[in-house]
Amino acid sequence: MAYSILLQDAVAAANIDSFNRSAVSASVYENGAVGYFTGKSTTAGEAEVWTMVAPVTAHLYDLWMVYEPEVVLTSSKYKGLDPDVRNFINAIGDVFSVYKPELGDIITLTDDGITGTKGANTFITATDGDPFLNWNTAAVSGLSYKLIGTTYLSLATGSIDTQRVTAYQFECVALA
Amino acid sequence: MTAKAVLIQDAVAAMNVDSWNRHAQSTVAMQNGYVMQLASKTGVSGESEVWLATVPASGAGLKNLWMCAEPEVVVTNAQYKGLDPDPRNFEVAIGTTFNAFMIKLGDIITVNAEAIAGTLVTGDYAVASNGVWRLTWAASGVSGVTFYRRATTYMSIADGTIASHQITAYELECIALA
Repeated sequence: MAYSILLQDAVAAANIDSFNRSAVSASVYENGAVGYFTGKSTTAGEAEVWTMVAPVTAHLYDLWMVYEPEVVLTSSKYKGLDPDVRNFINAIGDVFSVYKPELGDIITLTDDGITGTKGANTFITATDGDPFLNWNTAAVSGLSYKLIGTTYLSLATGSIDTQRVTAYQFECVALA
Repeated sequence: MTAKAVLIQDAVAAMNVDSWNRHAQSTVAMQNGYVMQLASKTGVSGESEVWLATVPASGAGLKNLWMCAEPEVVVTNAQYKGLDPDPRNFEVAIGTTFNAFMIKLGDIITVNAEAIAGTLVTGDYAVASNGVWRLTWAASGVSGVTFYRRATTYMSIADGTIASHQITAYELECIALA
């Protein structure tokens, strides 16, 4: 199964330390997925780790987006053997990096990180109960991105051939 | 020649955040301090990172705008750059790519009178207006980009002559974006 891939093309969090945090979740989380914090982890040694859950209708704002370096774990124990970033996911209980989206942020996401079908939709938005952004016809009163264009990512799979996969470039147009 | 707008970025957040700076083009000549929407890219081959500037519009078109801030390298006789030291002679020609930054709350800028449409009125606001590239003097803020005049000050302009070159300017602080 291919997991979501996120590129931070131009995000404010790349320059502002406080827009970056560490998080943990009771669910698996893929890069590009979003959620909000219910508080800090109470696990010993995780004083700076926040607990993250999927957005809900009453909390489509103040969301954070997952962006963890794609070091794939093979056979549950070997790191770094698999170069294909589509095989990367944050396991339950793993501490991962998240950042705060800001207006004007530009990101590129693969289709695996978006729920629904593109069709004529030109927005992706935060949706109740879903850690992935959803294709939508318009922005919502919550985290929303506008489609800039269809593009591609060049992936390393370890084989000699073309490894372009379809992706979409978005601009953050609403936070709340 | 009509004097053009001059902008000084006294303290703006975009100085520290890369993503709040973009390249843009416009179908009209642009001056520093002009505000704009960057809603889409130009779509021209070789300009994959260049956005198309459009004039502020009513409603959502007044919110979260960008401001033109391009180094004032004046082109003389449409061919010579750097001969004219007077930044009041600088504007961005149609089709020329320029720098724009995202306006943020708390940003402090200084502009000359040419950068603001209308006349200074009691209330001391300079706001984005529908169909106007410049900020416009207003008696109150708007539901969109709004600056407040903190002080009337001056700029020292170099024009190549030996004389006083202080011109009236206004120090503005961004107090609303939407």
